[in-house]
Amino acid sequence: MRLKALTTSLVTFATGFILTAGLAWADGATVAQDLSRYKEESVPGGKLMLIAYMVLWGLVGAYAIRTALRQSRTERDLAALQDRLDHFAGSATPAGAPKAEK
Amino acid sequence: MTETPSKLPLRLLTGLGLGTLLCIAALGWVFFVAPADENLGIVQKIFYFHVGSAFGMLLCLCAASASALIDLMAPNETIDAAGQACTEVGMIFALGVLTSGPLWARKSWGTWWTWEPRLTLTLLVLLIAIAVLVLRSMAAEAQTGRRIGNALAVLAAPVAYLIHIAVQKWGGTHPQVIQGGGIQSSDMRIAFWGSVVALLTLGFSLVALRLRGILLEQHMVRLRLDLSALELQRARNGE
Repeated sequence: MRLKALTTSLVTFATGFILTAGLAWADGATVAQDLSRYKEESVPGGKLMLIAYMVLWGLVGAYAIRTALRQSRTERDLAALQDRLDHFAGSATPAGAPKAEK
Repeated sequence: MTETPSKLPLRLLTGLGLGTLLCIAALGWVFFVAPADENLGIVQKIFYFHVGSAFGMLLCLCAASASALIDLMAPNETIDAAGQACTEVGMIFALGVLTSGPLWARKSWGTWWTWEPRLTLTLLVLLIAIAVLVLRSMAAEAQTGRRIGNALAVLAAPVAYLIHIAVQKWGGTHPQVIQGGGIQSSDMRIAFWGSVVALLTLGFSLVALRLRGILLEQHMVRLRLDLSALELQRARNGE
C-alpha cells in the first residue's frame, strides 16, 4: 500500500471521527435535546418526503446499475482473457504453469 | 485454477426482480393505502423506508463485521468477498438513512440535525464503512489493504449494537416507534413491515449481485497471472 495514501485516509478518518465525537460531546449528545428552540416555522412536508424517496431510490438504483454494468464489463474481459489463455495453453503448456480450463 | 463463478444468474435475477416488485408493492401501499399520520402529516411516510434502510444497514454491516473477523482468523476469499459486498450495500443503506432521517427531522423536530446518540453513532458507522472501502481500494498490496480493512470492519458490529440500544441507554430525541407501539393502524403496520421485507429482499439480492461481481474480478486476476506465467515461459523458450 502506498504509505502516503494510507496515511492520508487514516488521518481523514481519524479527523472525521474526532470531529464528530467532539461536536456531539459539545452539543450534549448523551442527554435529551431541547427541541422547542427549533419549532417556529412551517415546513412543507410533501416536498421533504418526495426528496427523501428520490434520494433513497436514486442511491439504490444507481448502485444496482453501476454494479450490473461493472459486472458485464468484467464478464467481457474475462471471456477475452480466457480465449487468449486457451490459445496459449493450446500451443504450449509450460511445466508448473496451471492448465487453462473452459 | 479455480472454477469460473456460475454463469447462471437466474436466481440472482429472480431475487432482484422479486425485491423490485416487493418495493413497488410496498410503495403503492405506503402512498395509496396507509393513512397519513395525524400529527406529522404526509412527511411521516418517510418513516417506512427510513427504518427499512436502517434495518438493512445494521444487518449488512453486522454481516460485514462477522465476515471480517472470520477472514482475519482464517483467510478465505469468498468470505472476504461477501464481507466487501455487505460493506458496500450497508454503506448505500446508511447513506439512505442519513439522507431521509434529516429530511424527516426538519419537519418533526424543526432541525436538520442534532448531535444525539443514535444519529451520531449512525454517522460513525457510515464513516467506518467508507473508510473500509477506501482503504481496500487504495491498497497497492491487496493483502495489506484486506487486513487493515477487515480490522476496521470488525468495529462496525459493536457500533451497530450501540445504535440499537442508544435510545434506551442514553435517551435522546430519536423516537422509539416500534418498541413504543406508535404505529397507529393495521394499514400502517402492513406498510411498515412490507417496506422492511421489500428493502431487505432487495438488499440481499444486491449483496448477491455484488458478491458475484467480486468473485468474477478475483477470477480475472488469477487468469491474468496464469497468462503472464505462460507468456513468460514462452519468451524463455524463444517462441
